[in-house]
Parts: sequence; C-alpha cells; structure tokens
Amino acid sequence: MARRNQKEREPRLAKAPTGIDGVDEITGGGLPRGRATLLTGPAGSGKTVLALQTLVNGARRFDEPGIFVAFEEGFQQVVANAASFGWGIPSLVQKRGRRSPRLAFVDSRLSPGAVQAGTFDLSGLIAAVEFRAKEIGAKRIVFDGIDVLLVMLNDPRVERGEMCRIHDLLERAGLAGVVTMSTTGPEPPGSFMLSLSDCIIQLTHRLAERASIRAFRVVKYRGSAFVANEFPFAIASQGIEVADFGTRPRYRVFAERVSSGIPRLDNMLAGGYFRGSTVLVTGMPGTAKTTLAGAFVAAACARGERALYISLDEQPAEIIRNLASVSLRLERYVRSRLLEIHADQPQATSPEEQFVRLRQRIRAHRPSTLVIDPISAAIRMGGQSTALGVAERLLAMAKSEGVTTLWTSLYQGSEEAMEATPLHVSTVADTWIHLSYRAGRGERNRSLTVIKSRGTGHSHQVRELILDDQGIDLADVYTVGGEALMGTARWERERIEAATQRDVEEEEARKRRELESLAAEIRAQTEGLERRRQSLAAEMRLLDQTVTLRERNESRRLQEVRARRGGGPASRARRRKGRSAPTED
Amino acid sequence: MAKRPDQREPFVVRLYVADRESTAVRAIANLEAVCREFLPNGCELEIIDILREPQRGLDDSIMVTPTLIKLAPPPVRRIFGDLSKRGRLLDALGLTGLEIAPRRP
Repeated sequence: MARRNQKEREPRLAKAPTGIDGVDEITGGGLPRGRATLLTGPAGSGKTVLALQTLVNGARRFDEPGIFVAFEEGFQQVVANAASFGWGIPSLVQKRGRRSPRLAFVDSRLSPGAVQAGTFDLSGLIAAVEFRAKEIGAKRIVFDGIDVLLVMLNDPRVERGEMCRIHDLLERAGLAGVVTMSTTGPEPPGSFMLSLSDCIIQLTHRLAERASIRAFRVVKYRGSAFVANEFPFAIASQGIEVADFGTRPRYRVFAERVSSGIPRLDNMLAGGYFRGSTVLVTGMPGTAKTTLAGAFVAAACARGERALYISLDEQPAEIIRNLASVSLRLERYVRSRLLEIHADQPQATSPEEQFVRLRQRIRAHRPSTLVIDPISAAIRMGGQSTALGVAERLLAMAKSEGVTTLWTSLYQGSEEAMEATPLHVSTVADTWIHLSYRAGRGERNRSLTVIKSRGTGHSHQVRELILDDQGIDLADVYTVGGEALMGTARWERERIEAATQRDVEEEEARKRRELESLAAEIRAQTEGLERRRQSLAAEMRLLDQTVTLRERNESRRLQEVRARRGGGPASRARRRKGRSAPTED
Repeated sequence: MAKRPDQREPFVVRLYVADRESTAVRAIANLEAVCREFLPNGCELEIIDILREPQRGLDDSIMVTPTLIKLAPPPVRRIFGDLSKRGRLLDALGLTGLEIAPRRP
C-alpha cells in the first residue's frame, strides 16, 4: 500500500479515457491530454470510427466536450456513417438550452473547385477551432484525414510547420488530440509526423486464412507504459471494441460450488464446479458432450440462474429436442427467459466479430452460466491460431464477468496424445472432463474421466456415463485385472455383487428373527414373574390387615376385663366416653 | 469562350486572413493590385481577420488562410493562398482575357 501511494504521488501524464473496451487497458488509461495521438491505417480500417467514438464517449460518459475537424468527410456523411452505432450524434451537437453542445463539427474540407494561388497556412483554421473549443469547453479534438491536408501542402517543411501549429494548439488548450491519417500501402507517414506525435496507434486490416482480421497496435506512447502487442478488434454494433486479453486479467475467485447437473459427477468433483471457473469437456463425436453441457445449463436454470448456450453447430430447436430424450427439458427455461440459446455460424463471421457478439450477449443477458458447444468449430473461423486467440480471450472475458463456462471440444485423436487438445484450451481450463468410448465384448460404452480439476480433490477413476430416458447418471466402473468393466460386463459384475448382497441380507434377517423370538420369550417370562410378585404383595397386605384387626379386638377385650374387675376412674371415664361416642364419632 | 464580365455588375469578394502575417499582407496587396488594374469600377472587398472573428471563419468553413471568396458575379469561387500566382487568380475570378487590354485611358 505504501509503495502504491508513493507511486501515485509521482507526476503522471494526464490521460483522457477513450471509454472504448480494451483501448484504455492497452494504453494504460487513455490518450494523452495536451498532446497529439496519431491514428494511422489504410482506408476502411476504422480510424474515423475510433476517433469519433473517443469524442462521443468523452461527451457522454466523461463530461468532456469534443470537436471534430473534418478534412475528408462532411458532417452529414460522418453522422450517416456513425448512425448505425446508435451514438446519438445529432443530439450531442445540439445546444442544450443555454448550455453549449457537447460535440461540435468543424467542416474543413477544401471545397471542390477551389483554386490554389500562392502559399498559405493553417493559422485561420487553428484560430477558428480554438475559438470553438473555448466556446464549448472542449477537452478533446479530432483532426480527421490530415493526409488530405498534407497532400495539399505538398512540402515537408510546410507540413512540419503546420503540424507544430496543431501541436501548439493542443498544448495551449489542454486538448487530447487525435489526428487520423490514411496510409495507403506499407509506406510509413512522414518521419516528422511520427516524431511530433506523442502517441501513435496503428490500425490494420488484413485477411488471414480467409477471415478478416482487424488489428489495433500502439506503436509508441511517449512518457507512458503501454502494451505493444497487436490486438484484434471488431467494429461491432456499438462501435469499436478491442480485445484486451492478457493485459490485465482481473476476476473474482469463488469458493462456491455449482452443480454439474449430474449428482454423481458433483461427488467426483467434491461438490461440483467452482463458480466462475472454466470447464472443458472433450470427447469424440457422440460421446455426449452436448448432454453434459445441457445438464449443466438445466441445473443452473433449476437454481433460478440465467444461462447462455452458444451452439456453433446445431440449431436451438435441435438441441432442445435432443436433450429432451435424456429428460433434460430446456424449453420451459427458454420460455421463462432464464435460458438463451443461440446458434452461430462460425464461418459466417470473423473471429473478432464472434468475440464481440458473444461479449455483447453476455452483457445483455448477464448469465451465470455459459456454454460454448463446440469450441473446436471455431477453427472454421480463420484458422487454428486465430481461433485459439479468440477462445482464450473469450475464456478470460467470461471469467472476468464471473461466468461459469463450459466448453465442449471435439477430440478425435488417441488418448495418449490428449494433452494436445484442439485449440489447447485445456491449459486454460480449470476442470477438464474427457468423454470417450470403451469398445469391447461386442459393445461400446461411454466413459467419463476427470482429467484435471484445479483446487479440487477429485476422483481419478473412470466412470461409465449412462444416458437413458430417465436422465444422466454415472456408474461405478469395476476393474478386473486392471481393465475397467462397462456395459454388459459391468452389469454381470453387478449381478454377482447383487447376489452376494442378497445372501448377506437373508442371513441378517434370519438372525434378526431369532433374536426377536428370544426377546419375546423373555418378555413373557418377565410378565409371569411380575404377576406372581403382585399376588404375593396382595397376600402380604391381607396378612397385615388380619394382624391389625386381631390386635384391636385383643385390646378391647382387655379393657372389658379390666372394667368388670372393679371400675376405677379409668373405667368411669371410659364408660362416659362410651356413652357419648355416637355423637362424637 | 470567356464571356466578358459586365462592367456595371458589382464585383464582391471576401478575403479571410489571419492577423497580419506575411501571407496576409501579400494577399491583400495582390488582390488590391488586381482590383486596380482590372476592375476600374471598383470592387466590394471585405477583409476578415479570422483571429478577431473566428465565428465567421467557421461559418464559411475556412480551412486555410488566406482564402478569397468571390461572391459576385456568379459563380462563387474560392481561391486560397497569398494570391501571388496572378494567372490562376484572374482565371478563378473570371477576369482572364482582360489582361491583354489593360490600362484604358
């Protein structure tokens, strides 16, 4: 903590966040204030979109008005081009009551038919722009299509002078400046442009294995740390999004377990998958990868959590129908909107678009559970290395959103070479479950192995995966001489075990009956003795009564005798008492 | 064939300059010389210092300075630079042909 504070006290380069996914991470906070960022790239590489998006985000999210100086396209054209992104530019350029607009356009196109007659400079433009910037309190500015201007100036010395003018304006007005420049072909922009710019971002657009790849790269960032790698990006429905995998992986780590949907698999995994973890399910065709994925999704929905199922090879209706055969009924969850199933055609999109689309879906649906089935189909979108990159970023993104993700991947090689799974996603996965067939004794049986599960003491045993109309279950596998028994062999073995079990149970029952009858016998004896004890007690009470009666009679007889022998005072008193006795007693 | 401009038609130009930079001074001088030589009936010239009136520069989408806008007679034309290239200037102002017979008594 102390070290961090110290670090924060150091003067730092002021930056304007672009608010664009990925860009702020790569540039360590955004673009430099009071300086120029040169944005280069061929025509159609997305320069204007990126620049304009920086302004729109500044105006909308950071309360920083901006100015767009257009050398190439007019205001109407720029607005029309950006209309599909839904940035609401027309409302940004309008005055808000007495307050100035948050976005201003300066149309600096050279009108067609304009004639050059002698030397000129940009001081007029700079003055007009500076005036407008002060008027609306601009914090950001874009000079779009500076190459148009440079062609017109057509003199390196003059170009340099004019660029310095722009530079001075940025510094004077404290504006974060973006200068876009079209580069046709591989030739780099003039060296003065490079040295004058404090930050240089290069956009490229190329084809890799027939898939379109757009890439974003920070070439230089004076006075700031940045990530120099090339990052693929997409121009998506809301603008540019740059994938930022590997720059700053941050995600919550959960200790909570979520059910796999198969109770016995949960047992094998000491309670289920970790929430927010990544589960890879590999297997040959038909080994029930989709079923395992479906069980996971159904369990999440049964808990009332939202789930997202992305299928790269089957239609939603097919998935629902097929899973219903193993009594996984997903339709009700689709209807209650807990579950969204999307079928994407991987070859129909570039990997970046796929990535961005998925990210949007995750953000729109906010699922706790995500299934991609099968990720190996992603190879069709532009080759193994591209697909791998996208898969890794998808995983990281899902993780950072706290989504528990299950990926299936088709695997057809031998089990020995399994570490080299398609896409090598296995190294990223937290839990890796492999499904395979065991053939033998005239049948094929599905088996399930937990190959790895980070942070979990898991069973390393191979289990048999049983699918029927009752659902999914795992069966213990008997090993005989090192060979796992499945299918009929397991059933036979189970029968033998069951027979032994039955014998044991019968023996126990017999013993129980024996003990019970002995207990009954003792109970009967106890009751007889009790009865005898009670009659003895009664006899004793009778005896006591007899004795008392006899003693009383005896004492009365003695008094009588005493009285007859010559009555003393004692006898008189007794007589009196005897007479009055009827009223007193 | 270049049509001779009607001498009685008003000639209206607007010149945008930035402050008193050398290009501005040269442009004003060059323009005034042309007016003297080719427009004996005079011309309506407005000089705007964009540093003092930036809003007007914005209104007219002035990208570079100096910029001369010929507003009348039509068509409206834009000429930029310090107007040192007289041939191009006259061409753009529609005054070509007049230079062959200058200095009428």
